[in-house]
Amino acid sequence: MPQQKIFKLFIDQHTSIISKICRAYSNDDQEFEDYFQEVTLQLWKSFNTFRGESKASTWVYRIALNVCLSQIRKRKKRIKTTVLEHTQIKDEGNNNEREVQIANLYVAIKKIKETDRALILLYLEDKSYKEIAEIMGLTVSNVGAKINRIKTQLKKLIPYG
Amino acid sequence: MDDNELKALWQSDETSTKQVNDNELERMLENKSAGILEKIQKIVKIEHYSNIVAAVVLIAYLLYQQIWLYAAIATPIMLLVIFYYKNLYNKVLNISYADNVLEHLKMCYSTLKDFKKRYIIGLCIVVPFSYYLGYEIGFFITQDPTSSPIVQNDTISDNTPIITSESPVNFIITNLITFAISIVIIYFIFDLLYGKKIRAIKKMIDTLQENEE
Repeated sequence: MPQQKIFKLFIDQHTSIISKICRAYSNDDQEFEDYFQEVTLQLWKSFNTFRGESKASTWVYRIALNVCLSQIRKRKKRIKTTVLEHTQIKDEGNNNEREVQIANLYVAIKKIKETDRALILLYLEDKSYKEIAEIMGLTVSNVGAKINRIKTQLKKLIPYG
Repeated sequence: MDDNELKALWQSDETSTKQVNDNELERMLENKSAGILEKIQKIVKIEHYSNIVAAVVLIAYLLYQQIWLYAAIATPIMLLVIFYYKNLYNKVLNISYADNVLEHLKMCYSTLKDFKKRYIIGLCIVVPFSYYLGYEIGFFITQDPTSSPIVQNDTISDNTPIITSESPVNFIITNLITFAISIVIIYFIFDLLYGKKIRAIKKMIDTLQENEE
């Protein structure tokens, strides 16, 4: 099977992880597309060197977070308007309550510092502290301490949370 | 909302998942990276090869003109510059997105800092050299055109602009002020281009390392 076909299957398996991380770091749809493309491109560039020493998902998380963190752009004014508009549209339409909750969760996550955001994303993905430490390059005890603090912060930021 | 409910809510999110078809993937892989590291990699590569060409041309010119002293000074300097660029290029090439986040951010920070530092060092060499060259042309044309190691007699005509400052002190002060202003302006331009990014990455590293043993 050609390498690109194998890579397509790989992307299909991990598109949810990549999408969520890119969404959490982007301020609008265009930025989401830019991040998604850059992550995919970096995964492709490193695809041949992936030796399976770590889990594939760990490898994807590392690359996606590294791309988003090293290329993060500051558009604070746009964050507020875009995200609030998105949430309001959902509210007005009285759409699925879960979708509104998810939108609110993204709003809250985007208010957290970039590096803390990476930690809470991994926590929400149900990664163990050991795996989070491995992805982030931190000690397990530090991960635990940080996540406890960020969780409290996140809960305060979620509307009606 | 407790922790498990929060995780369940997050994991139930399907609305954000992007579906990528074959054509779109192909288009993505054909596109060039828009990342800052790739941009730096490209700039450093162009500058590295330009330096090699410039070094060869400069040294060949000095040797051809039999300006031995300048050739002897320029050769080790150009070799050092080429060696420095080679190292910087290798360093940028070796940055891996597959490293852990802290390691990757540290590598980005150190590379961006080196990249900016290189401009400042270059600036401190190029600007004084330009002023020296201006002074050389002006001074030797005004005072003694035949003694200039750089300016050739046949390049001097009656219309060649010359520096006619009566006070060398004024000339030096004016040049020093212009030199200082040039460095400050260029420094701020580079700071605007890369400074913010460098500070943002440093802040992320510091935040991550808080409470690290």
